[in-house]
Amino acid sequence: MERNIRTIVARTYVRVVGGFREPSWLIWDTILPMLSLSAYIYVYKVMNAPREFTGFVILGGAMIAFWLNVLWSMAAQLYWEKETGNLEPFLIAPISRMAMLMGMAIGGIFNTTIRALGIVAAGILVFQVEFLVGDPFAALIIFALTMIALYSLGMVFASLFLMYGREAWHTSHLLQEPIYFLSGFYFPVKFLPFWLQVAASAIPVTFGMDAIRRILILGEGFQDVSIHVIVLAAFSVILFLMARWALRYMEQMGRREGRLTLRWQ
Amino acid sequence: MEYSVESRNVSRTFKKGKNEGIEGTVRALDDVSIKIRSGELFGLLGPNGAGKTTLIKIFCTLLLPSKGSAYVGGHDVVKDADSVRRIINMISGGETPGYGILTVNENLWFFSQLYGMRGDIAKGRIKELLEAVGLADQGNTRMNRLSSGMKQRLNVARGFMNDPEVLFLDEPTLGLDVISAKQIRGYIRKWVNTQPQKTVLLTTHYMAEADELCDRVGIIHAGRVVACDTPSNLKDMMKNKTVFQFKVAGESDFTRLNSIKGVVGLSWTHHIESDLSTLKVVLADQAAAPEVESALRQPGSKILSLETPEPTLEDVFIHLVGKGLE
Amino acid sequence: MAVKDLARGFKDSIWLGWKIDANWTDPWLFAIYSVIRPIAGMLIVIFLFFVGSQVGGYSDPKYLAYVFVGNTFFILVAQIMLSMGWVIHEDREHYEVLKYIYMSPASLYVYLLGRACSTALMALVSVAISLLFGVTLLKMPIDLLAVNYPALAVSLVIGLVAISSFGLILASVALLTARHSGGMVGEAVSGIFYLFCGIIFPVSALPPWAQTLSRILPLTYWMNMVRNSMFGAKPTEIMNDLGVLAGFTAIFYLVSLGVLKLADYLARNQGLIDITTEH
Repeated sequence: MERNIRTIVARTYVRVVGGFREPSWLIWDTILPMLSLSAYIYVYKVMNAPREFTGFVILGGAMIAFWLNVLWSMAAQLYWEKETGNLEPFLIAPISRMAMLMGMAIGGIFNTTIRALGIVAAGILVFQVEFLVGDPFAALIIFALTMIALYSLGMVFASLFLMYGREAWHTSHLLQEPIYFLSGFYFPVKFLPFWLQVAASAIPVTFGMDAIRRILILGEGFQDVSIHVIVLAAFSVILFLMARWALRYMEQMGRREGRLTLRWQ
Repeated sequence: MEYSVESRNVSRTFKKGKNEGIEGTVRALDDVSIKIRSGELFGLLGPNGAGKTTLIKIFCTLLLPSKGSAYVGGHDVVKDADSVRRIINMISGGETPGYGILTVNENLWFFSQLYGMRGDIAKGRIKELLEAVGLADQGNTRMNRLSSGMKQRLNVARGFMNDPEVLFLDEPTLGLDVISAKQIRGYIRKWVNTQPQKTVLLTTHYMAEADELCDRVGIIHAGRVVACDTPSNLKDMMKNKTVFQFKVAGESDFTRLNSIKGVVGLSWTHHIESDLSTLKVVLADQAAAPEVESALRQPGSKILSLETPEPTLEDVFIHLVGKGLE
Repeated sequence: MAVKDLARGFKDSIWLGWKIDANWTDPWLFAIYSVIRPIAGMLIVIFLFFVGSQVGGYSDPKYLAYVFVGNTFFILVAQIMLSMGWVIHEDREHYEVLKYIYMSPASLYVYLLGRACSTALMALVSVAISLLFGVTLLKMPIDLLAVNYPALAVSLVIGLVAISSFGLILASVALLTARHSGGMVGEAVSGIFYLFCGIIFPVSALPPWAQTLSRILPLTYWMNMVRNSMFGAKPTEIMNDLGVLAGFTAIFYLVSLGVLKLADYLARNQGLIDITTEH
């Protein structure tokens, strides 16, 4: 346990210090992403959509920051470690793979949180989004559960990189837009056809997004999102266990096929 | 007796896919059985592509054997990988893992944390290791500012960070200058000598390195271990053989000598500028020597010198495999 | 350098870009990937329209066509910027070949242009797929028979030069910065054009200061030209945009050359050509 905690701290340190030493991410990861988001807000404005839809897009943008952190700063990071020759020393060390990934994710959370807060601040200052916070405690619980589920899902994706290289990389790319679409980052999922809503319900962030929207924009309370809490809790447990299994399984497969540290696949 | 490192009939094949141009399988290791005692510095000598790195990867739990079993510290590398990882480390020559944007100290501290080392202990260890590898004054330099040789020395320091029970060295001096390579070899030897329970498996294609460092040497060729003994015993295999070393001018290919009865193996290097070749011929029977000499005397080429040096590990390799390491 | 050598270098880097972007999997999986990505992006804005029309009461089919065309052709911008934001980091830190390209007599500029062109060719296929999908399956209000194809072709050619110029500027900046967050840099920068160039909403909806910025970005005129061509405009109706687009493209093209030269000098001065920055 101590070793794994030290691993988490060490890997977090690498990510955070690296960010401070070369701070161009402040532009790429925080300021510029606000622009695409603003474009969607203007679409709603042109179409005279109610004010809260601007808030929906802002919250969606903030959540996307975490989703991208999962995809690129954690899952795909294993790919990058492999390609730069860093993966071997990690894999022969007596550490939990989840600890390594957790360190990457936590290190990325610093940048991500700044991005998310920046988006929310821009939403308030530039677009005058109004937040009617119904139940802050419920919002925190929903957020925490969504993050656990999301990061566990990210670890499942990360396991693919133990076996595959660019295929997994492109799969991560492939998952970006469909997840934005299905999970209701820019509009409530209830506007999707029923069969797409069913598909969307397989993605944990769909519930997290919907619940956070209800609490922070529409001012709803814990009772209104109690089902979301239950579903997210279930997702968190299932995905965490799945991540553990997937990391072990894919590592074993990678070892068997000799692809664990194979570069340039 | 429980061995520190052991493989039992280990084989490893790799499948090649359709889009790799070669379909089928490649056998990287073929029925390899070696036993390394605790405290031993064991060398695995062989040319590129012989299977050395594949075997090390199996021992380091990065690769599963296709057949057979392997153990490190008594733990099965397949079933009990976690236990193996607690007691090993690996240094691959030519590789420089680390984060360019972090300093030397920070990189080593990071790797120390993977082994659960306390901060104060890690600090002392880092200082000691940097002195040992000649990087004491580079602690605050970012890794992406180091020369290639320095990065490799940093890699060596990383490998010793957790003071492993078993250390796997995969061509650790590859690409290092002569002085740095000597320094590293000296450190390895000292480490094993001062810590009798430590075990080292070193792969190399430098015979001099194997000869200098190793208690025992295994010679591997095309995935098979063809011999395994102390360097002096291996050289004793050449007792009944004769090694001739020729300096020949004006010729660069001596393959035809293989057809002479009594020639067990040969190896040569050719210097393009001087058009001189250094040719080693291992003979099972000294009676074949005149025929070899006569075969070398042909228009355009000239024998400049002939020696009968003491047999080296390369000669053993030539004898066993039929050709040289390079 | 001889023109022949430059042409060969250009052709070879297109080939390299294709190989890197396409040979990671089986052809059928690559085809699926090439189809799904643009369609998913398209569906987001189409649903944005539908949701907006349901809650805001504004459901002009012309605006739907506007959004559809804008978002579809924006694939070119997004893909090229993504690729150019990534190529330097990938070649420098992942494949470790950048220093060898630098050391060779090949022109780095031509190499980067070739990589951009390779991406552009693949992106054009994605655009075509999205158009067909949108028109045939989603019944977007576009008449493919009424499109002014010659005008569209001209606008695409000039537009690609403009987009590549921005891509080169981005690649130049990448020479001097660390690798953060994978390919997000390109996506982030393409957000500038997504917001300010009238891609999915008219620039008139922007505040005055933003409209000024829109007026100096060539892609604003490019988008107008593309849209007008798609809606069957006559040549006289697009000449104005063509002139401004050509002028601004020329300016930004020269700027991109200058930025690359400066970045090249700074990178060599600071020893960044073969640096690793991964963390």
